[in-house]
Amino acid sequence: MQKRFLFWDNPRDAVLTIVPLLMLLGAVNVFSASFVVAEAMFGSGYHYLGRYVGYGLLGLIGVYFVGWKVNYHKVLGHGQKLFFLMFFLLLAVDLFGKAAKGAQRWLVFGGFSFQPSEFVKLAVIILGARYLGNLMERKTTPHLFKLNVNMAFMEAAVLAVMVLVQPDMGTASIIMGLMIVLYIIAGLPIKEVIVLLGGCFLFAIAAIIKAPYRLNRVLIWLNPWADPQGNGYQAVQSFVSIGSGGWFGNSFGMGTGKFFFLPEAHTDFAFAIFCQEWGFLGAVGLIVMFLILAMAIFRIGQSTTSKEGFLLVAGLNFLIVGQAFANMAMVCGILPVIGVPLSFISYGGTSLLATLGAVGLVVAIYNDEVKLAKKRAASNEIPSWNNIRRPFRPGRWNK
Amino acid sequence: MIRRPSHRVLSFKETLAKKRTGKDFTLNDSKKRTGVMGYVILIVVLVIMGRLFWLQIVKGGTLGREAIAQIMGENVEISPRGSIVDRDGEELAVSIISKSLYVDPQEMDDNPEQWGRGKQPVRDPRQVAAEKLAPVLGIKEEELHECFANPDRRFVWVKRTLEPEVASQVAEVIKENKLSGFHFQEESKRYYTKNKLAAQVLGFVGTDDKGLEGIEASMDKYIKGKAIKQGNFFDARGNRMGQSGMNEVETPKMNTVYLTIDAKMQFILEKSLDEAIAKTHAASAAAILMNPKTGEILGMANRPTFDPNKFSQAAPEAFMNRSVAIIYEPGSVFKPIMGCAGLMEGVITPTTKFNDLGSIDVGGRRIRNWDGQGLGMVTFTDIIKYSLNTGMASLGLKLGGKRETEYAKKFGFGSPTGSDIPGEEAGILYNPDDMVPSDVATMGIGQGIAVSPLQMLRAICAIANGGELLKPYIVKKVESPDGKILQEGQKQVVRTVITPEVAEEMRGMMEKVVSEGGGKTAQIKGYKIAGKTGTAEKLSPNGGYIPGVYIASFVGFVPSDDPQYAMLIMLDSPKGAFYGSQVSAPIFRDTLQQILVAKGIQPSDSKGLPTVESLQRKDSGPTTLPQLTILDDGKVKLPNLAGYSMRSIAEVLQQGKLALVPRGSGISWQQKPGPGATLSEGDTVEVWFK
Repeated sequence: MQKRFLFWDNPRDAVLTIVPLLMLLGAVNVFSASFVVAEAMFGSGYHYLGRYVGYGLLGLIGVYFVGWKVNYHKVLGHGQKLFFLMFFLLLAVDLFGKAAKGAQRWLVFGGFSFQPSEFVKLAVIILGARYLGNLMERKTTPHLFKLNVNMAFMEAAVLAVMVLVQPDMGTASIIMGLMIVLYIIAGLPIKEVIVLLGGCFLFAIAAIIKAPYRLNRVLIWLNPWADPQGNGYQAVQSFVSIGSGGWFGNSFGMGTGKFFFLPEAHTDFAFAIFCQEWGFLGAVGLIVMFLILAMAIFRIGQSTTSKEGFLLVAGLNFLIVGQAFANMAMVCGILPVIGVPLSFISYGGTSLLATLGAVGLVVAIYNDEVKLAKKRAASNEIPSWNNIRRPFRPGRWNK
Repeated sequence: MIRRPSHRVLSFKETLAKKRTGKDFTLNDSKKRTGVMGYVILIVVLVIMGRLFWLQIVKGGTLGREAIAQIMGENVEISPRGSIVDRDGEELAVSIISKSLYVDPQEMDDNPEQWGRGKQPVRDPRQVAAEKLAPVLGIKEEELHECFANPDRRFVWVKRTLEPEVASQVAEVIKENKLSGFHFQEESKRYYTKNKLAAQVLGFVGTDDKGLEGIEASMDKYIKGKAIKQGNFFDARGNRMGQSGMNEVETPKMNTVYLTIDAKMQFILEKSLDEAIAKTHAASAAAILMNPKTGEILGMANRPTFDPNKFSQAAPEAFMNRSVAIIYEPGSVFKPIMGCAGLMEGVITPTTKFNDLGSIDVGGRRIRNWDGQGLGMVTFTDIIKYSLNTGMASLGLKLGGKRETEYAKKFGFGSPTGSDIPGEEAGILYNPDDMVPSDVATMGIGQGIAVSPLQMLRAICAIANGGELLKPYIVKKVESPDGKILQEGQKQVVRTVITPEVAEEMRGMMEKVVSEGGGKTAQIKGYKIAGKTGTAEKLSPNGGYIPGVYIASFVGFVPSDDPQYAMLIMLDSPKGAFYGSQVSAPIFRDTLQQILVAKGIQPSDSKGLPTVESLQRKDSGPTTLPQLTILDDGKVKLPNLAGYSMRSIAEVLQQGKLALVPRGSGISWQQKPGPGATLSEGDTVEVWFK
């Protein structure tokens, strides 16, 4: 099972190195991006930094707990219960949740607010992996138009609609997107994939035709400079912040965007502040770190023998890194503005906990696989993966 | 080793082959698909990097300039209005930068972001703001709420120029209650440190730092605070960035106006007028103290008066600087002027004989002495000394209207003195061609002419200083912060009106007025005082006289052989006694005595008086002077003052800023309040000397 990954002994260690590094960068950037706003709102510039550190430490404990103390198969076994838990949480949000910025997304428990939709993303991956893993185990391929193989899709759709009414179209599309990705990985026939993507496109067109303000949003996305003080303000401010970074950035703390110019500077648009203060080279460095993280998780997935485990890793990779790239694309104007956080870099307590929970699961899958390999090696009946993946040994394969 | 083929990862080709054969989709197929997705992601990442390169490197310069452009701004720094100080630099009017509170009612709604998730209370922020700010600002809650609830305006002053402690309390309330929409703007606020002292001279400042009255108005161009624009970095909410790294331009200090006023003497004048009003119930009053040799105004007080710190609450008639802005018939105080004309023209000499019959008929009008009594054959000196109307009327007739008006003009009547005090009146003179004989005669006794108190005093000063008519001035200098003199008041001789000999003759006569004649009530033992009383019926604004209403005045200077101080006291419409000798002269005396003591002018005639030297010897040196005990609360405890010279006591009291009211002269023997009494700054101590 010992397989080197870049400078690390194994891909798990790579994950466990890069994630804390990203969190360090995240803490620095959260502080830099938020101290002005925090000072104005709470009287202390350290407000968000303190919370980030608190949630981060809690999340790291979670990584240890999930990674080493939990059998992830058992977690997947509870997929159905998880669905109902999420269902009721979202119901609670829709009924009693706290509204902010025009949306009702938060539940408040004794002073701490909590955004269930961030956990819904994780839950959807878990229940999708379990369901589709079972299908694969039974050698059944999912099909779009067969109801009996689309339970997970239906469940995800229910949760997505409940998020959509908050309203939070961004998170709803991510929930559906993650499930679709899992379906594709689980073997949705290529033709049906094309039909599905085409359907999504048509759905988007229909949505635009039905509500013209969405067309406006699309136009603003294509050309925010048409209305730099109005609808295009956030995008333009994001570009200004990113652009003023140049090659090397304005150095830590000296960016201007956070001085109330760029809305959501420490949350969804934290990447713009990062680009402003670290420059193009820093931004590329960050992207490379995420790429290495993605490759490490990918490598863990590729060496997973469990079908549901593999699907889970793939989904988590999309949650941890895919979402991050989606955020970067949004911040620099490649995608329209939807509320996707940048993993580890954006401030968001629930999001950070969910992401670290996902990291914990990735570690758990790797550790489980190691255990399995050891068992196989011990029983000497099942060959270890190491032997199988070893370079070609003539004669033995074709026996 | 046995291997299970299902664990083998198939190649992409194999996967496709399998698909074509319709076989099962295996885990390996799945892994291939993630691999393909990985490439898709990689492409997305490359697009992101390309986009960042475009934004940061290609467009970096433009966007960087944009970022700087949107934080650059200008803010206006207000420098405080320059100070007005007395001749010794004692502050009379100072400005400090204070904060004004304004509100944008549309910004007042609670912003959920301010509260953190789940902490926002249900409340009406306008009501809360009104409730919490009302006691701090001293404005009614309803009024505040009305101001906050105004939906149409985006800028409403809540209260301007707050006291610093109030401003910090307001800031505290705003922060504590998380109120939005409130902003401070810096403005200059004027403080008159001595409250009512020289109120009409100083004037006051309106909003926007505009001097409205007095020196504040006339010197506005020198002391008006400047608004300095400076470049700075601002955040998107318009607040200056704390760590913008730009150096703050230091607020420039402003020019200082030094007045010729002496705050101590002014204080004495003000106190005297207070007492005079209390005693005589006069409707209004004016007192001017002038240096007869230079034309400097050392003090100028008026009643009614006001506190320029609260000018908006005062009656506007109190703003008038009566010392220069009213005109009245001077009456007998004008007689020395006419006397000088007679002496100059050679019509009379001090010893010219007049036959005083108690009254004289001119052109069908009877001019009487004040008591209607005649003294028989008298000299001109006696005419001045006893203020005999008969003699002055015949002198007037001898001079004729033309020469009378000519001399009046020469002495500066009929036109403003040209001083730098705003609001001066010109006065009224006859056209000599229109004068009938009775006019000619009454002008000799100071009727049929209207003068301002300042005109009167400076004419007397011309006699005091040997014949020079001076231009009075009140601005000693205007000094820039770096010590440059921008404007300086100087002695200016307008013209020489009489010869030194005539001046000396007249001084002698005026001295006799006080020592022997009608002005005895102005005597101060040991000092040679020259003066003249005056009582005139008050002119009605509708023409003619108001019966039973008088203006009582006294004008004089001391010491008469080398005048240091010239002073005029004018009381308008005193109730009860109304003769200048009865009401104005005692005030003149009390005031002057305090000034002489405060300034250490020694008695010129020490006959029958112990000299200062002998007093000091008696005191066995100044080291044994009694000391004031300064208490913790700033009050002072009075020692026993018996047994000292007036000068010593004045010195002692000066330390505690107490005012000395001397009674008599010589060595002190009694005091009020008694020893051990506690007094605060500005209180008076009466001390009897013998």
